[in-house]
Amino acid sequence: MKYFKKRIDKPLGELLIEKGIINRAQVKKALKVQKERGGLIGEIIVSLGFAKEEDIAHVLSLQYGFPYLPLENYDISKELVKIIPKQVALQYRLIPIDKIGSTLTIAMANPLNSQAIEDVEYISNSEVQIFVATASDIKKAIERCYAENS
Amino acid sequence: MKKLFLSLEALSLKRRIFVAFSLISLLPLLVIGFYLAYKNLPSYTYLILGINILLGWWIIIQILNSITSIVKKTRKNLSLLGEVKPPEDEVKLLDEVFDKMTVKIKKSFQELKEISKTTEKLNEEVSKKIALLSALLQINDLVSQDTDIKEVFRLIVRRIKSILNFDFTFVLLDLEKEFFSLEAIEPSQNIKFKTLSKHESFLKPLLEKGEVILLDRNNSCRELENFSKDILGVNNLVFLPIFLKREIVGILGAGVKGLEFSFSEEELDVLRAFSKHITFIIEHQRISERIKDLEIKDPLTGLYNAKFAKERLDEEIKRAIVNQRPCGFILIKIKNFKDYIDKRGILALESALKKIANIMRDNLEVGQKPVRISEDSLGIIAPEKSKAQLEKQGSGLLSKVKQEVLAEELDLAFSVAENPLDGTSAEELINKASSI
Repeated sequence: MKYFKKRIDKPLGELLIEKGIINRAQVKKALKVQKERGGLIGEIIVSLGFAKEEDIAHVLSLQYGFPYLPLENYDISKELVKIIPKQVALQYRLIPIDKIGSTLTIAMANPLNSQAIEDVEYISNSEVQIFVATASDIKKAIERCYAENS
Repeated sequence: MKKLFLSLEALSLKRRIFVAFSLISLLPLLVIGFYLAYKNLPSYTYLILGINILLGWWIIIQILNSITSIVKKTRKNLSLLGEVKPPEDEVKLLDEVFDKMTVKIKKSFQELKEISKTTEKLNEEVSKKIALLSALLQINDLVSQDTDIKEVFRLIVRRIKSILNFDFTFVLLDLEKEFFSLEAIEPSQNIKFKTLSKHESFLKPLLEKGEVILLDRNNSCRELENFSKDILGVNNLVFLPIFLKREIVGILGAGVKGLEFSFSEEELDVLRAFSKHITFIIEHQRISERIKDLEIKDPLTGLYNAKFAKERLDEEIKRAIVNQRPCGFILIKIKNFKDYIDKRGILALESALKKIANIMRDNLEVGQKPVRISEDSLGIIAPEKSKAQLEKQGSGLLSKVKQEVLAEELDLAFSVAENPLDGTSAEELINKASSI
C-alpha cells in the first residue's frame, strides 16, 4: 500500500474548525448525526451544508498528504474499471484511474478506509496508490465509466 | 319340596298309588285266598293285615295332600299373576295358570329383545364416542409432532367419514379473500371443485350468522341442492362454520348419498367437535409459526439460527454500506456430514457440533455472531472484516476445531465471503461461501 504518511494528527472536524470552514457547534451537530445514522463525518458535514466537498478533500489532502485529483475532466480507461467491480467502487467511493505495472492508482473520497484499500489490493492483486477526490466526483465517474462499460 | 310340584314323576304318584292299592286290596285278597284254601291262618296275620291296610290309607292321604298342595300353590301363582277370579276346577285353574305364564314369558322375551336393541344402540353410541375420542387424540399427536397441517386435515376428513359412515367429508379454508379453498377431502378421487366462492347464495346464513347449513329430508335449499348434486353427487349435505376468534375462517362439510336421509343431532355434534378441533389446530399452527419467527437460537448448538443469521447479516451489510466498510461471513462446513452419522451415529454428530459451537464462541472477535445456517454448516458474521482478515481468522478457527473435535473422522472445511466483494446481501454472501 503506497499511500502518504499522515502529516497532521488531528481529527477532520478540528482541521475544518482551524481552517475556519465550520464552527464547533456544527462539528457537534455532525457528530450527533453520525452517532444516530452512521456514515462518514466528512459526508455528514457536507450533507448538512456546513462545508463543500472540495473543502473536505483539501483538508484531507493537507492532513494526510494525499494528492487531490479533480475527476471532472479526467479520462478513465474502460478496461481499467473492470479491475474493480461496480458494487465495490460504489460502497467504498473509489475508482481506479491508472495502472502501471503492479501499481494501481485509485481516487477515493475517504483515503483513511484501510479495509477498502486492502480489498482493492486483494481483488486487483496490485499495490495501491491513492488520490483523494470528492465523493460526488467519484460517484459521477462511477456512473459514467461503469455505465459505458456495461 | 319345589321339585315335588314340578313333575308327576318326581312326585312318585304312580309308585305310591300302586303301593297303596297293593296294601289296601291286593294283600287282603291274597290273605282271603290263602284262608279259603287252607282254612287256617295264624292270629297275628290279622294284625299285620290291619296294619297294611292302615299304611295303604296313609299313603293315599299323603297323595291327596300333595295334590291339595299343588292346587294351593297354583292359586297362589294365579293371584300373583293378577288373577282375582276363583277357579271353577283344578284342571281349569292349571290351564289358566299355564296360559298366563306363557303370556308373561312372551312379554318378558319381548322386553328382553327391546333391552338388547337399546343396549346395541348404546354400544354403537359408545363406540362412536370412543372412535371420536381416539381420532381427536391421534390428531393431537400429529399436531404436537408439528406434522404438516394438510396431513392433519386429511386425517380429520378420513376419520369423520369412517366414524359417521358418510360418503363425503371435506375441509375448506379461507385463504383467499373471495374463495374458500379445498384443503382436504375424502374420498379424494374425481373431485370437481377446488374452491368455493364466498358469494354463493347458500353460504349467506353461514357467513353472516355462523349457522349450520343443512340439506336433507327435513331441510331444503335449491341452490345448495344444485351444488350438492352436480359437484359432489350427493343428496344430503351439511356445512359447519369453522371459527377463529369469532371470525369464520373455513367450512367443515359432509355429504350423504341416500334419498331418505336426515342428519341426526348426534352426527352434528360429532361434526361440531371436529370443527372446534380444526379451530384449535389452526390457532396452534399460527402460534407455532409466531414462536418460530421469534426463535433466534438453534436448540442443539445454542448458536443463532439460520433465520437470525440472514436477518443479522443483511443488517450488518446495510450498515457496512452506509459506513463504507466491509462485512464478512466465515462458513465452516462438515463435508462428510451424512457419512459421519452413518459411521458414528447422530448422538456423536450432535456432540461434535456442540463442541465446534463452543470453540467458535470462544474465538469470536468483538461484534461477531456465531450462527448455524444449515444442518451441516456453521458460520460467523464478521462485521468490518476484509476477506484477508476473514481467511486468517477462519484458518485459525479450523485448526483449533480440528485439534479438539475428532479431527480424524470429521472432514471440515471453511470458506469466506465478503461484502462488497462477493455480494450486497446475506443470501449472496452465504451462497458464495457455500459454493467455494
